[in-house]
Amino acid sequence: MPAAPPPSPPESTGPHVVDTGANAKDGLSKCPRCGATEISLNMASGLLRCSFCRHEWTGHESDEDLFINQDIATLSGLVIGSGSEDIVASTEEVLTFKCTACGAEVVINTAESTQARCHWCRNKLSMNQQIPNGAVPDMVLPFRMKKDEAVEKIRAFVKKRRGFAHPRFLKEFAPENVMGVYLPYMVVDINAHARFAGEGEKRTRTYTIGSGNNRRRVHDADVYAVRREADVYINDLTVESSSERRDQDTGRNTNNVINAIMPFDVHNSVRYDSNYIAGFSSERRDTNIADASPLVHRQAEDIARHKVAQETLGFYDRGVRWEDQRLDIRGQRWAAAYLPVWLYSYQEKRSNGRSFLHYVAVNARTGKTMGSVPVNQPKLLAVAAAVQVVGMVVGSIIMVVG
Amino acid sequence: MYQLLANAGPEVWAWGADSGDGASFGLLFFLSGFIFYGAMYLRYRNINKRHMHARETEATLDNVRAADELVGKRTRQSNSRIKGANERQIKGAQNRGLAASLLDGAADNPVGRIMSAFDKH
Repeated sequence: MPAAPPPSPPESTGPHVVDTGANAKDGLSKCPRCGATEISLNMASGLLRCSFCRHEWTGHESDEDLFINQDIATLSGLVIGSGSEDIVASTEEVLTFKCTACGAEVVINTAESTQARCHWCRNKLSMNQQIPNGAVPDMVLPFRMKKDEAVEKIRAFVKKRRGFAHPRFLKEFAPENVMGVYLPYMVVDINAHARFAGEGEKRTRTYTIGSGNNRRRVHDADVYAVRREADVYINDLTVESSSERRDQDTGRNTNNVINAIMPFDVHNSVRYDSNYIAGFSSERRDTNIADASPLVHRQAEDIARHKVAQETLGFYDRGVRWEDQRLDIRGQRWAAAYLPVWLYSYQEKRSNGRSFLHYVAVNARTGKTMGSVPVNQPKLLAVAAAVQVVGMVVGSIIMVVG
Repeated sequence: MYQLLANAGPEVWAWGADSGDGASFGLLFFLSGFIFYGAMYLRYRNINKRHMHARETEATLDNVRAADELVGKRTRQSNSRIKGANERQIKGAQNRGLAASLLDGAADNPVGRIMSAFDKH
């Protein structure tokens, strides 16, 4: 399919930017009831909770004001959240805030966190205003699965893979060390028009021809010229916005298992508030929309092709060969998001002196689990060799008898 | 191993039958050690796993227009699928590497089909 060019909005206006950071304030973020700054996420309710008075509330009111959840059919041009604007390379990573409780200067390293504690008065300071370094996204999907549940998921995943697991991995296996991490993603809605033209085949008869060793089964088929055209509305297409996580070369890393725990229920996201991050790690976005666009457009084409095949090509039991495929994107909407992942990591030391990082990842919303377990190669090779010997004996018997 | 072969599902048998050679079933046993190794390696390392964006992303079609015109017949076709079938082709998969490429799009290549069948067990 020829790559659909991204819509080019009028040069005078550029993309339409939705301000998702309106009313966000840096500094002390206080409990609305008692004024304490010890605030964190209550995973059971999905609400923010004050650690002193136990009052619970949402950081921002409902998902109605999340622009990413609006109608797709009427979407046109390029619409982006202010938290997904291009990263400015010169933007400082380490920012200084004045504590509004005591006046002390407090430093926040945005590469690692968007919160810090005042070293004088012990109040917690939050960074909620968006600056162009990718640290503050448009929205966050709060953790729902508790650590204990994640530990059990990881334990069960590895338990099914003990037989050929590396003995050192099993000896050092400690799922209690799992970490809660908010990973950065781009969430995209797309309004597009798809056109396909090609040839399809419908089987009419299957029979056997030839004799002796030349016998073979063949098929007769009717051939059709096939055309399909439709509007396609794609909701919450999600891609990684960390260049490290987007590198999924399975010869070098195991990032593909983190990719495999998608999808997330992104529509339940809330506007970003640093208090949702409290107690978890987060990874800063380092990818701009222009960098992620080619991948998003390829995936949008895949989705359109799959949907058309699923809903309109059931008649063609021998398949369809598209010769002309086109996806015209009328409108697209981008939002930067933090999505919750429980991540267990294990550094395998290999005999050649190199190390290889294995992950077992758990989607902290759905519980979907995927991972990579280091293999005990000598043991697996020995068993495979034994299987090969037995297989050759059985194969020989079948070929002689059959 | 034999339990695995017995449970491998219709994909493996279908692949054997598609090759059009009655001895292919026996030949399959001659590869049993390699198949076992590949299946176990996949089960532990999961290098073929990725987000199935094409079917796991929510999408709806609207204003669908279809045209289907009978233009001819083909007879004595050896393959069970039209040549060059691409109606479910995936171009936006992110996992890379030799093994991932071989195994991705399992329905479209015999290696992927066999490994997927074993991976389910």
